Amino acid sequence: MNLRNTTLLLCLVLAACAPSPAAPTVAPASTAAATDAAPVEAAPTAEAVAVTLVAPATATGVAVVAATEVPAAIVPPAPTATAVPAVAFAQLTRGECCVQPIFSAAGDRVLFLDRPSAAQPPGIYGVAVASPMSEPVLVTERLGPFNRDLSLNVNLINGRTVVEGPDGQQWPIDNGGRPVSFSPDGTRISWNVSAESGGFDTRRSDVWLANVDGSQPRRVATRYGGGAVAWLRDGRRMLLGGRTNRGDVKSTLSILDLRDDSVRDLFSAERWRGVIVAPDDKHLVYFVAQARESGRGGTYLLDMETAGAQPQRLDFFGAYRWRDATRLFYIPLKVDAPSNELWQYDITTGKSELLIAASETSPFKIGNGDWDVSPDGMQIVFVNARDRNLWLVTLPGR
Amino acid sequence: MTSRLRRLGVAGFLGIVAAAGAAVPSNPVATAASTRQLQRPPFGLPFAEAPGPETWLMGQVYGNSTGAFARRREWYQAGQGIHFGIDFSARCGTPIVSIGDGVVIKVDAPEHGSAPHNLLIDHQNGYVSLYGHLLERPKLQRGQVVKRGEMIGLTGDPDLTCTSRPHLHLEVRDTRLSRAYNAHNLIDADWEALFLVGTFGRGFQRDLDEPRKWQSIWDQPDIRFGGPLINEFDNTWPQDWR
Repeated sequence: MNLRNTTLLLCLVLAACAPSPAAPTVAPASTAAATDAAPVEAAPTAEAVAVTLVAPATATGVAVVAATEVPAAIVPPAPTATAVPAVAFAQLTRGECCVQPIFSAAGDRVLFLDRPSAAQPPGIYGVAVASPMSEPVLVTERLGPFNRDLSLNVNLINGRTVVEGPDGQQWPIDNGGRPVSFSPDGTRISWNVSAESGGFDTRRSDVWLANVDGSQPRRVATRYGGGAVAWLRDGRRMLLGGRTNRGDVKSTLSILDLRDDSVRDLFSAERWRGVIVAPDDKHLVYFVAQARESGRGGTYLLDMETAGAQPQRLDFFGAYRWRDATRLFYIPLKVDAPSNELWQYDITTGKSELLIAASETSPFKIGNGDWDVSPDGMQIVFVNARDRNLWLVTLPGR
Repeated sequence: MTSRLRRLGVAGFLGIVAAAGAAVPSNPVATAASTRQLQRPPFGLPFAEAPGPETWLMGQVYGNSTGAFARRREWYQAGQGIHFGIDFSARCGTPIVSIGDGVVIKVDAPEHGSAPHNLLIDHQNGYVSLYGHLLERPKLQRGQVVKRGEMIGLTGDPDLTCTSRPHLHLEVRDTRLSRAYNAHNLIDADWEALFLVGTFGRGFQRDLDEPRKWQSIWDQPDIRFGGPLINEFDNTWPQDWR
């Protein structure tokens, strides 16, 4: 499991423990931004959006519907010779199974929590992306959160946090039964200790760090209405969010360098959330919504490497995920559209490209807000709102 | 709402009607369930404006959300442990509209929660809507007739700061005010699109004995106020972290 997915699983737990609407958080898969306005500058290209529907035909395989059989409504009215190759859809699971899918670190399987029958244990099950509709296979009965390679996970046992190693070794963590986040290399853990009363935007949170076995714990930072947001991929730095001082009007996102505990502020704003860091740790995206000062709402991109870089407001508002270090998938918030659109924003050119158009016949209508991007950026798995099963999108090109 | 999703919604709606009928025989809608198969959900959204970063977003779904589970023995104990309404994130002072035609039956009724101010409207069809965490006492009188889409109040913040968690808490109850229904099935909206953006927490709490139970906005259970917790699972995920 890659870092993104590890963070995702952690987010699920953190969300349950910290229902603070004001606390900045890393955006879990279902929590991103959206807009009621269509992208303006990010206009669709003239390239056609062709869709190849891959429908399940048998219990063991799939039937490919030729591109020529694609309903006309899916194809824009003026396709050109530069039309993009077909986007392929495939149903992965049946029986209204399952929710909150994530890709394995290798991208070869889609994983989800399930218990297919009373005779089987609850656990993380997986379906090979190369074998849609195959029977899900139990991957592990451990439920996480995990570290990057699934070798470590954390459990709550009799009210105590316990880190479990690959050989069953257990290390109780003296943190009051709080969830922990593993560093990317699996050598350290962090957690937040937050006040349990007061306004959510001003509650004190102390950020703690320890070795993975719980030794050498130390408080590394304090924030109000926030806390540790995420580890960066290099494992030497963490993102912190929240007010630096309780009385601050704005909340700040900062980088904490654990080598010397130095802090570098990235931006300050009201009511930001949904931070997702690019795979190379060089950019991040977030959104602002319902800030007291009108006109601030929207999706923002920030260069994390350039000192003094200002957040750049993007001309779309929607659910988003990084495809790779320079391209962002996004789904504009358009209520009552027949299905979701999928767009791609290139941060190097500032251009958006429509990858999947909305139509009555498109399978791309996401349910439960559940979607995930494969590690190579070539596939998307989502809960299909129409049949409540998992579906796979395979994108063309690179 | 798309035709396919509308069918989903209608199916869910009918399920709710059936549930309401079993629990509240006097519900006139319940007795007419068979005639409603082709009808849309009876109510509209509580805002006139479209959703977005400058207006409103769905903050918390109805039901067995992970956030509600974490607060099941506190905030949501009265509602059997689940979030018995829908939260809409909106800055303080955002105008709220009635989700349907009706008559105001209560203004500022603290016994029904959702401080600091709330409002209840009887829609004369077996349902009552409750608007909570309002910024100020609504300028409406008991017995006053309101129309669907009519402005009835302003969003506020239960923490009274307008910076902590400003939002509208909306419930749909029976006329006895003893039950809350899954409002997603009763309000005509593209909930799946709204679920993609801006919600707090993620998804629904799992009962590991039946991890597929209550994992969609459409199948969340109705609740009876004062009833026992329905999500005190023996094995659950996410775990019951502090």
